[in-house]
Amino acid sequence: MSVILEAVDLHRHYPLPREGIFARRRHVSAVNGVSFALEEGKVLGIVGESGSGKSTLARLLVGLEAPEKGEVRFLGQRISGLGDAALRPVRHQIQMVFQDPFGSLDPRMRVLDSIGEPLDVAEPGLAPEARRERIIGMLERVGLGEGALTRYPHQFSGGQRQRIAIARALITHPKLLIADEPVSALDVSVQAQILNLLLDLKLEFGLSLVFISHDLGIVRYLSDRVIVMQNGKIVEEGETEALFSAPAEAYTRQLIAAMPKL
Amino acid sequence: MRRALSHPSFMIGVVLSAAILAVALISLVWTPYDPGQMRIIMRLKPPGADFWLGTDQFGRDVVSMLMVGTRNALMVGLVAVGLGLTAGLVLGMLAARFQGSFLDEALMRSLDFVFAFPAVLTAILILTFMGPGLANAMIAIGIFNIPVFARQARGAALQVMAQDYVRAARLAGCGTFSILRRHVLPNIAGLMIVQASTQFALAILAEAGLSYLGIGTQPPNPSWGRMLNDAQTFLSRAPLLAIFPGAAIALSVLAFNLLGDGLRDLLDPRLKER
Repeated sequence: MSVILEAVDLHRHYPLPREGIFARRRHVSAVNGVSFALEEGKVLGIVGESGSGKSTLARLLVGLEAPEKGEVRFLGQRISGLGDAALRPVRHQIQMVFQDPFGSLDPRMRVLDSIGEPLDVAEPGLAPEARRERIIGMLERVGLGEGALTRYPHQFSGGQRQRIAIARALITHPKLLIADEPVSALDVSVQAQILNLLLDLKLEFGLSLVFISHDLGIVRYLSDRVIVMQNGKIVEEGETEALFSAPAEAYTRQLIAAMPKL
Repeated sequence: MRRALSHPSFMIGVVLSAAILAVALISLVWTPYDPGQMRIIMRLKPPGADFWLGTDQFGRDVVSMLMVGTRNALMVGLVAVGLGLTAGLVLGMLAARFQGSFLDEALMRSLDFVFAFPAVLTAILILTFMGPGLANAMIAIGIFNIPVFARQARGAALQVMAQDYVRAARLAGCGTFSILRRHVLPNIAGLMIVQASTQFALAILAEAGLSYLGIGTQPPNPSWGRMLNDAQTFLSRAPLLAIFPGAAIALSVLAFNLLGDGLRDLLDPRLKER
């Protein structure tokens, strides 16, 4: 198995607002020395409580932000710190699904154009008919019909919107998908549907997946390997079953103990 | 749509604005008399069958002058707001895109500089350099409109650019300008239209003010502001001469403000029915 995504000693901090004009600017560090490797076709779960730096890590991995130190490598090639233009050739191979399905779709854009947007950049020469066909195929694949094409996001439920967001992420057939809390804004009954959809699509498209969540149950269900984060650092990392059955760190044990028992 | 019809201030604004627009359009093809024609024997006539709203001190027909004045006022509003809106949008979105950069700071601080002076004072200042006249008045009013639109465009654009759909567009590989055009502009357009409607009312008021001072529309081209100034001398003999242009100014400012207020309510996403 070859490594598809590699994080090497990533650091990212944000400036805090100045407390006075002569006060020294202080920083909060969101990601502080994170390293890991993801093998092709595997699912890496990242767990941690709010503020542990999970979402910042996601933005670093997809290249929405640049790390101050360290680098992100995709298929052995450095992608961090490149400009938007230099990143464009690999863009459509790395996609992301966001947490809030109400914020991740442009309210003034029809579903057809939202899903078509990555396609327009990746394959600008595509004929309108072929483009439409591809988009319909993808919509059907995520469980929505052709009727969704000309509608606007506000006409869909949260779960349906997340399906649209997934269709947009996968329309260019990426190799790697970063899912940042993709189900935490959804009803519990819808969560399972979306998770199973993600798993099906992962097999079908041969995706490698980074799955970020604060929900340990979901991460355990999905992941091959798990990373536990706290305060921007990796506390523990291991194969899913090993980590859940015999956690080595006190923090991991606390998290597991706090899981609701059903 | 049904909400628009049942929104009283919006509907009043729409009807009044449409009426004003209609008057301006009619004045292009027809006025009761030539608004510039003087008839000294007929001077200062009260309203009557021949001259519906009477005549001024040179015997010119007030209705005809008001009608052409409407056309001038709307033209000033259109050009001034168009100029301010276009320049403000472009500058505001640029500043937002390069938020925190030197460009952003330089742009916004120089616009603050324009903003720091009272609007009409800025216009008077600009007209002193460029010389009086209708065209220059439009440009002057347009210039002090730029910071208003730029600030609002920047703020609104920043809000839009913090949304996940803009992140998704970046991940899709869209460039800066394609994101501004496809995502930011459509999402701030509503807000800018509301602002444009309010600024339109202010522009009409500013033109009237400048013409009253004699540096806006030049004779013989009629203007509400200059009619007011002319009427001032005859206030005791013919008070109606001042009332009519004053009412025209007040009514149109009211119309476009109501329109703007109504649009704000109707376009507010929090009130939008789902």
